Amino acid sequence: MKQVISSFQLAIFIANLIVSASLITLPQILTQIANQNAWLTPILVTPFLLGLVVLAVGKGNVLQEKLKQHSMMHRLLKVTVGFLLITIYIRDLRAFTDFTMEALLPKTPIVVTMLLISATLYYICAAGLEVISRITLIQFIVFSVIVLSLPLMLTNEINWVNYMPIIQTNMVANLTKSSFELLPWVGEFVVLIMLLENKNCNKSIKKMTIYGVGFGILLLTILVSLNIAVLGQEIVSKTTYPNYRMIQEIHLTDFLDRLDLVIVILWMPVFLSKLCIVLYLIDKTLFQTREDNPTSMFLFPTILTLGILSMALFKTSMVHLRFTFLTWTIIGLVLEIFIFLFILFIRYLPSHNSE
Amino acid sequence: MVVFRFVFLLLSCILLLTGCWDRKEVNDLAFVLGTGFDKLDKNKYRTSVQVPLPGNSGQSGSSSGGGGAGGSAPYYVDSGQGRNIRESNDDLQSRMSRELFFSHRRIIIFGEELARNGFHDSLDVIIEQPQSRLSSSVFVTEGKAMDILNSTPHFEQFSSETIRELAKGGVRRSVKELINDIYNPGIDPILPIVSKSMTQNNDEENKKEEIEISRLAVFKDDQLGFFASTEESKGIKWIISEMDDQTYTYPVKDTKEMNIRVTNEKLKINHTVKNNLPKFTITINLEARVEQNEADLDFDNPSEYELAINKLESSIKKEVTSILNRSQEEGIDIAGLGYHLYQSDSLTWDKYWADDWRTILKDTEITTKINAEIIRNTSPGITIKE
Amino acid sequence: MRFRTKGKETSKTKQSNEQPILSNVETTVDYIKEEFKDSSDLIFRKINVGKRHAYLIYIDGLVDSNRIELHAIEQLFKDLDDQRLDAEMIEEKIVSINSVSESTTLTDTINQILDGNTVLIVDTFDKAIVIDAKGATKRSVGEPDSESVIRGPREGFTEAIRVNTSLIRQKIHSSNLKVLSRKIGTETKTSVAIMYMENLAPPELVKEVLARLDKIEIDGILESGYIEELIEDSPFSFFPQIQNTERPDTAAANLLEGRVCIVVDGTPFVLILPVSFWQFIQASEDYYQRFHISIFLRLLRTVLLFLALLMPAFYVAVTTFHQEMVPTTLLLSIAASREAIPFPVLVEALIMELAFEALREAGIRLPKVIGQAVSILGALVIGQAAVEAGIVSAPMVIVVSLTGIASFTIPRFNMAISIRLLRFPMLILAGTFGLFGVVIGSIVLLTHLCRLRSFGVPYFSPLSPLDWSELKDVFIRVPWWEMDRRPEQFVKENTVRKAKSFKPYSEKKKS
Repeated sequence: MKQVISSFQLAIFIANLIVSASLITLPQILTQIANQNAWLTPILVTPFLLGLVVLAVGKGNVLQEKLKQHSMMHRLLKVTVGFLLITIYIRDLRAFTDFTMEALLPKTPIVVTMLLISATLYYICAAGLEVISRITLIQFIVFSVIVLSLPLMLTNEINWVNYMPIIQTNMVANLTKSSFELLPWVGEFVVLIMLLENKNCNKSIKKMTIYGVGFGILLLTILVSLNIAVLGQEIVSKTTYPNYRMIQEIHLTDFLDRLDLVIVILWMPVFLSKLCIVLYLIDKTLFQTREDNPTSMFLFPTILTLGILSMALFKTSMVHLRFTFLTWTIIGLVLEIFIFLFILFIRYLPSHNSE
Repeated sequence: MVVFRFVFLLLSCILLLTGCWDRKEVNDLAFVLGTGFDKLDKNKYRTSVQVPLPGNSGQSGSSSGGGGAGGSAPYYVDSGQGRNIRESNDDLQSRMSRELFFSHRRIIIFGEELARNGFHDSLDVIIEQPQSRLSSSVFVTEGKAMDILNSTPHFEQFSSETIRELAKGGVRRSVKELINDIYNPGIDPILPIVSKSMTQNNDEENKKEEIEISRLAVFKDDQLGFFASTEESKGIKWIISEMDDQTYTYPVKDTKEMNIRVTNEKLKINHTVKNNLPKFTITINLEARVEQNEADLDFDNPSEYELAINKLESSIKKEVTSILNRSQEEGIDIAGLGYHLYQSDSLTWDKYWADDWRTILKDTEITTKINAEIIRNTSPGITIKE
Repeated sequence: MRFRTKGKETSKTKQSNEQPILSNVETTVDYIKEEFKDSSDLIFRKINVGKRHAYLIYIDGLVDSNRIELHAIEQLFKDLDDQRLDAEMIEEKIVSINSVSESTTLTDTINQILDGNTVLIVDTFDKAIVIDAKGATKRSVGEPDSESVIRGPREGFTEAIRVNTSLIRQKIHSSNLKVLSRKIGTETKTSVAIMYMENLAPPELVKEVLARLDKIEIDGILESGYIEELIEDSPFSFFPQIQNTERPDTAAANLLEGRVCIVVDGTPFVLILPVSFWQFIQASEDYYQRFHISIFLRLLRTVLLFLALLMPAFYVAVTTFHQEMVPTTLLLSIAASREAIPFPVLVEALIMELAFEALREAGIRLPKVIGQAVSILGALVIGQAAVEAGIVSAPMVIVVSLTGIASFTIPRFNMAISIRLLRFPMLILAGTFGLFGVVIGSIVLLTHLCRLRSFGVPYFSPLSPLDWSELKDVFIRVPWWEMDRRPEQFVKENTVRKAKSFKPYSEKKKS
């Protein structure tokens, strides 16, 4: 039975892929590069992204039709997407376990946390795409309500002076560098191209993709700008988890002083749903041969292997951070460019016949 | 496939059963309410902590066991020494049967020695430690920080609590604000001074050491510049815009003073550049309401109103100018003039002024202007009947 | 005393399947006596019909002997025509009987006797005449104990299937209401009636229900709970996928939304399927009172549902792993009250929860008069005494009693027991991994709920395949003039309930 998701759920997936992993450490890097203008970075990246989306999707449902065929280009696309997804998964899993070790469970061995997460992800993925999309929807709505109300909760702590020197020396150069850093992170959503064949065709995907991208960028901008406003660019540049420090500053009354962990536990399921959809797509692109199985039999060994890799490849968290912000930027950007080119080829070249 | 899943879950359950690594029982923790940092020698530091004793806190929890005999104070203060802050924490931990837990520490006090030699290392410790919060308040004392923690004020159970509540009503600097002040170019931090004083009543037996926060300390980046006197502290408060909702008394006639409460106060800095050198005009706009009109001025009468306003403005101006002059001599930028330049004219700042701002500051001209308004007053209001 | 279901041999009854009634009445009666050998409540009444012997056979207690002996037999013997003695004739003569039919095989005759009918066997006749004069004692219709309301009908189903179907018929006077009947259970042969509205319920659903019912092979059905477990989609799940109710108005309301009801003889609990999760926190009273209070109560119940599931786990996680979340003054008083307690928080929570469950279970079996007092006093006194003795701390008693109160607000008992059970794994997860464990547990729970289907309908709709218009009736209850569509998940065609925008407004006053 083919699993079908609606366009609204696709938009939520896109927004999820953009915001939930980027908020862990990325604002620190952006602020280090662009100082107090870091909040402009997502805004600058958006038109570029939207232009690419419009270019790739084009008019109507042609892209969906073309994706249903099989050719060398399609296989190349699948493999590239799969490889990108593997890097995303390893990087994000390690980032999440590192964050859990710092904020929630300092002494628990990292292997145990990883196993627990992997077991949960297996249970969710084995249930199929529709279940993943349902829980993502519910969790993401709660999360976006929280993020949208953060400016209200932090009104007392915002210091507008922190934004102040908007024009400064090297501003353009800094912003370009930080946009370059940000681009592969928000460009991750191109992997969702593989989901298009599961979508029912009644609404235009272009419109929904634009909404999804816009909403994800909006949430990310709110978070980065609040980071700078509340904490000041000096502190944001120095702390590894700036958003976590920021929500520690919420001080509604003397009683509601310590809401940070509540917000963290409302963010966690959203992040786990992101990992879930990434896993599901890895399984789908690399291992699935027939259309009608919801998951292949390689799902379970894949989860274990990737989990172990995320522990083994990075000896310390410093190595992981260097990988994330120096190496992966290049890898991600290159792979995403390739994927984009493949999509363009498939979309605009005359169609090949399947064998 | 189902069997495989079961086996995996069972295996992971075995892992779960081997132990909960993170479990900390509530009565295995010592909640630190406030810390004091002192410097003893060149590379020797002392950290003191104030820890509550839940069993003695007089709560109605368990009647048997726990309470009863044992010390009567609901807290105790202990300290440790080491080559830096962390090491002194470890030394202290060796004398505590419960693990130190810093998430509820809300005040930090720096001793005078440490403040004179620069405390930004200690401050960085606070950022790095995941338990600490950036919203803790920071204070300075004259003398040793440990003595402040030892005092026993009347009202609250713990001196840390007293200090926190006192700071809420006056000048309060959190770690976050302090760090921003230190690292931002062209502005220097101000910290409130905590000191002890005996209860001023004539009852010898009921005297306790109360805590007083009335003066401010001025820093040059992270080193102590000087301790301001009470007069100068008032001036500083005008400059850093902390006079909202504070009371102020100034003389109107010989022995008659006027007490006002400031409702709204804003500081504005304007600058002009001549010969690559800035000249500043500081304007303080304030609105106040009258609390006690000892001289019985009739505000309906324009000349008397003018008198009140003029006296107010001159009093403020005197205080502000004196502290500005003093800090200018020492090259300390209380008002954040450099920061204002950095924000409004960042390119010029970077080119000309950033590097030796302190020397430039000593020679800049600062004009002060005060605009005051009394917007509400107590009775009598207007009198119609003559 | 449980019955085994499959594998029991049915060969014993096979041989007498086709045995016809012999013309000799004595042989037939002997055979029947042999079959009912040690049953002393079987009455054989010998009478003479014309010149022939005849036997009236019935089970004492199941028939209305008044009607049989006084009226039926008397009418039978008036102007008897000897030749033509068959069901038609008897039917014409005996007017005080509901229905008269014929039976040709012995098995059928025996079944009819067991059903409570009276059988008349006449010599030289090879058919038995079955006279329906049932009159067993039944409970009268009264207010159901398990679901009482302040405002609403005070009728409840009883154990007799005809009474139940008649109660529903009295509410829905429509010829679209269909009643199919089956007999399930080899020994009990319980009558089961499947009721649905023909224009509303999807035909595939009805077919599926019938298919599943027909597949049941079991000794006996004593309660609708047996059927519920045997036809559920996922019997291993903690959550009920079939609702049961004791109130006819609830059943009728669900029928009108296109669902199917299964009425089982011998129990007042009627099954309703398919069902979604959010129905279990709706009470029928929500629809009878004004919508303002209904909105408030529904939101309150949703919040309390989460509390009932998560509060002890949250408390354990926060005090054991994340003490930085608690405000300082509260933390100090919790620490003060825990000074003398020997147990860690997790163990203390488990002890209190188990004690509470034991109290609840005991309270069910106590006589009603003492039961109320003991449960309230018991909780208070035991809690207070335990705090004084230093076994548990006061905050724990508060947490556990709040959780208990929260779980009592769930209107449907079968959901409440699921939540009660799920508290314990959550507690253990919280005690092992803190809030991380709580989050993992709730994600797994949410996934399980989203996967579950009840007869093809996703369990967590309308929240999970998100449908904004359906949410009108889940967390709030919009006024009746806004409820103009039926739930779309299963009623595919006939979704318009009534005309749109029927909001009442007062006429403008003409002065």
